Amino acid sequence: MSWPWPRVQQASHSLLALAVHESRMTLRGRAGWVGGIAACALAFADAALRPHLPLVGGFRASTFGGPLILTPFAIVFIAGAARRDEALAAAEVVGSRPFPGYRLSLARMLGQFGLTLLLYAILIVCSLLPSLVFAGKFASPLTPIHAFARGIVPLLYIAALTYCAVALARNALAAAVVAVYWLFIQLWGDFLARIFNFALTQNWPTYAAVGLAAVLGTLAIQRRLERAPGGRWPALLPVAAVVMLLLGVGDAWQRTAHGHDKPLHQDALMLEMAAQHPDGSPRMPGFWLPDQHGRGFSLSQTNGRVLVVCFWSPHRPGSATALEMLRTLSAEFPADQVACVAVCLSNDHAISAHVASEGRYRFPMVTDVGTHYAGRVEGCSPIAEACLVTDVPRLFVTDRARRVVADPGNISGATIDQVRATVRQALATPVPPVID
Amino acid sequence: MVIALRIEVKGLSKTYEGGVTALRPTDLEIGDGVFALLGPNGSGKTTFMRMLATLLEPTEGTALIDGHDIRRDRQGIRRLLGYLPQDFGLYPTLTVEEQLDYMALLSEIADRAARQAAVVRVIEQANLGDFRKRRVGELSGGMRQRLGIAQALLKEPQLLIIDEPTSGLDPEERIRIRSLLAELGGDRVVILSTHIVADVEATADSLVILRLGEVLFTGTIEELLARTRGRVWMCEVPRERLHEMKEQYVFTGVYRAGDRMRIRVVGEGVDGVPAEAAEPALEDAYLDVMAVAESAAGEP
Repeated sequence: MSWPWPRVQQASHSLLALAVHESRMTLRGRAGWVGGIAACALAFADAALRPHLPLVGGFRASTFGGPLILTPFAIVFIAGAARRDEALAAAEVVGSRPFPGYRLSLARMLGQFGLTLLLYAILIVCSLLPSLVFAGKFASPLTPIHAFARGIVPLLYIAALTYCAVALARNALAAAVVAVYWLFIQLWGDFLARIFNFALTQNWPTYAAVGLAAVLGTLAIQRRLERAPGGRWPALLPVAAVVMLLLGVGDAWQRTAHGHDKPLHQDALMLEMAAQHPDGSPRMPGFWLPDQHGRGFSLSQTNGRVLVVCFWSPHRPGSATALEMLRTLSAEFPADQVACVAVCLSNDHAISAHVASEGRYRFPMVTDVGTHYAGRVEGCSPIAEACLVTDVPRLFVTDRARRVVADPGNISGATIDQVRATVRQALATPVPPVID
Repeated sequence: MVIALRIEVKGLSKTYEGGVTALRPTDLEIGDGVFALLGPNGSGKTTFMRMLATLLEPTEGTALIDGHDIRRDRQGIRRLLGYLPQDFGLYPTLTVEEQLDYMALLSEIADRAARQAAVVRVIEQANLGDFRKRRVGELSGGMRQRLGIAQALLKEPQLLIIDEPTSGLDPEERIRIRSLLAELGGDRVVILSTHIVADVEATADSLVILRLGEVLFTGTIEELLARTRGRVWMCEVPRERLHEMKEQYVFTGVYRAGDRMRIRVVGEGVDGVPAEAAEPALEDAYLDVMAVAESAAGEP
């Protein structure tokens, strides 16, 4: 059996050419332009409210611009594309062609997904423009790349579900069901187990697999309905769909059983971390959390050094200034004397690593993997609870014995000079003898 | 040169859900040239064509197109086929060229150069050269119809099925479409449906007359005319007798002749009025066939 490379090449060439025509159709429609411009203008306006640093714009693009502004437009356009032939009475002209309908569906999806991603890329640029226009700061090349990477799976997942629902139900109103699901997760995702939130980066494998399973399953059903000839591997599509679904479910199972979604009251380490309290002890509560490289980082690794800990969140634009402060301190003071650590309070586990590489931060940036929505900062994570963090960004400075020397209530609004002075004071504080 | 194919229709019928019979069991053989389906609205022409185009599942029977069964080998038939439905939509935001390129892709012309060549050829054939960059949504009815035919011709189909191609067109455009169809019938099978007799007269080699899903006649135009020869009459009657005559005879033409009316009727003869036999036209023959069927069915 010879490898059918020329046929595969030809088929993919046709799919691509059809996909280009498909995206062109949506793009040339007046609704497409109005939707695209409106989405980009909203993203620009949103980022213009927080023009401090480009990374904030990038973050907003992936948490607001993509999921909240672009997705509804994408749902409408993709639902329209899935029923275009029926709406334009072109179904018979198209249906009498030898090109299989399920492959045309695939080309349509590719065209619409491509257009959605193009719009998303433009939207990210619009989100980064305010920092250049109003603050004169260029984004790191990694900022748009990361923002794109964070938004791509949720967008495509919803796009795929929309196309599949409309194509299978043969009714554009099926998109409304997907829209309700999308809205539910956007509004209530924080109150569900995080595995249900398709917008979180750590859930990427689950939702990429489930989305792909939906696409493959839909194509398999369409192929069966149109009684397309078997071809070389007739069972390939349904088997691939089932495999992808199993992979997705398996990943979700594995993640909830062993990963971030373990309930806090069942996780001994989390409970122990939450039980620490600075009121009862002058020592900074300890923690063991993954850093930007995915390696575990323990506060005990900084023993004997003055410690500057910054609690930050990408949702709070002031965090960018606090991280810059940490960079200055880590550059000014020798690493064997002063250790700077940033603790990210976000339920998206990729943010810390993304910000570290975008800002070229060399100090440990850990992610509090227990972070969840709680309505108040101190309740959102065990570490925040242990440290009585009521607002972010928040800086703690400890002496070499890890005793907090700065008043945590005041230092968050401090200038770099004040923090520098506090660090010097901590360096000068004698370490008490260890009592066995 | 495309080699023409043969179509064998064997007991093909269609009954829709709800019990409406659109086509009664039909046997036909269709060969080279232009084959017309003639009949009033609701006679089953579109149903027949949609079944041949593999867009509608027959209730019973089948048809073999160049040996491919419409029930079992849809893809095989679609590779031979160019189809234009009566009410068709195209993508209004694409240009004529882009639309044809899109349809060429759906016709499995994957190679870019081959596609471009096909698009140029059909644009030429359909006389759309001046509009190749125009958006489909900006085309007039006639131009859209020509574009519709052009898309059906992309893969040089051996079988072209066109439903009511001249419906709603102005006379000039209608003549242009007829000429194009007559030209196309030279080297392929063209099946066209119409309720306009003049279209058939201008383009078809053979025809089938349908009424309420039943085949009333099948054969060449000459055969149909021969059947009506000796049954067409011209006579002059006073105006006041016109209404009475209409009740008795099948009129195929009424003309003014001073203060009298000159009428053309089909039937066995005309009683009580001097009448001269006339050479039958296709319209006379069609109306005669329909009238015979109606009277056999006991309709007035």
